[in-house]
Amino acid sequence: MDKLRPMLPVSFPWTTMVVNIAACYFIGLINGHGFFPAFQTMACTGFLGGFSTMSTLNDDALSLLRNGKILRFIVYLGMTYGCCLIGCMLGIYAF
Amino acid sequence: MNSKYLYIGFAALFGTSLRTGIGLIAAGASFPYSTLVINIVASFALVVLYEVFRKHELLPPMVITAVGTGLIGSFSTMSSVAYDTASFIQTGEYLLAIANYSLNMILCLLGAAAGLLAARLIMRPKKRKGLA
Repeated sequence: MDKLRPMLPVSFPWTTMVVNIAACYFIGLINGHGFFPAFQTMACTGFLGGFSTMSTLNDDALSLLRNGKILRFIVYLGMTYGCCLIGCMLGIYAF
Repeated sequence: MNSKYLYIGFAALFGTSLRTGIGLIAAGASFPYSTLVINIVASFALVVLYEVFRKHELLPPMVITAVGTGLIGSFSTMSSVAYDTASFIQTGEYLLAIANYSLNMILCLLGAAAGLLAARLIMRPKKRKGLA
């Protein structure tokens, strides 16, 4: 992720967004299909739950707003929430 | 230094366990209230941590990262919110899906804003009595 960053527009919390979307896809995949319970708890509540974050998301959003980046604020929240739900459903209906 | 990841990971143990524990207490409810409350508290706490302790350098950076990214970051969760919402959609409970997603979105953002307000209140310079 850090190697990609110089190529991308600055001042946009890409890392948090990608992490959240990925976590949502995988929780849809794992919870949606069911694996043996210990793995499911460890992977979903444990790893993916901890990997994804709401607190950093809102801190990022608030920072964008405070720096006057209104459009980025809207895009960031819209894309995160939109892609997270879509990603999750894609995971659930993956196979 | 790679020890940063060790501290974050260690703190994440507590955040995740706390979230799981609270979830167990509230298990069986028809709506994921515990996740919502956890996320609001975490959003508030992270902003307070950054705006009070990080901004004014009251704690070493490693502690800020461990508590912020590790503890608070792993305490809050986006994946559970998305999965619960998706589950509601699957069972046709569209109203609950909309409620869950929008409540998390709005209240957590407000929580973060409240954290900012709280931080400013806490760090407000106190008036000194007597000599100016």
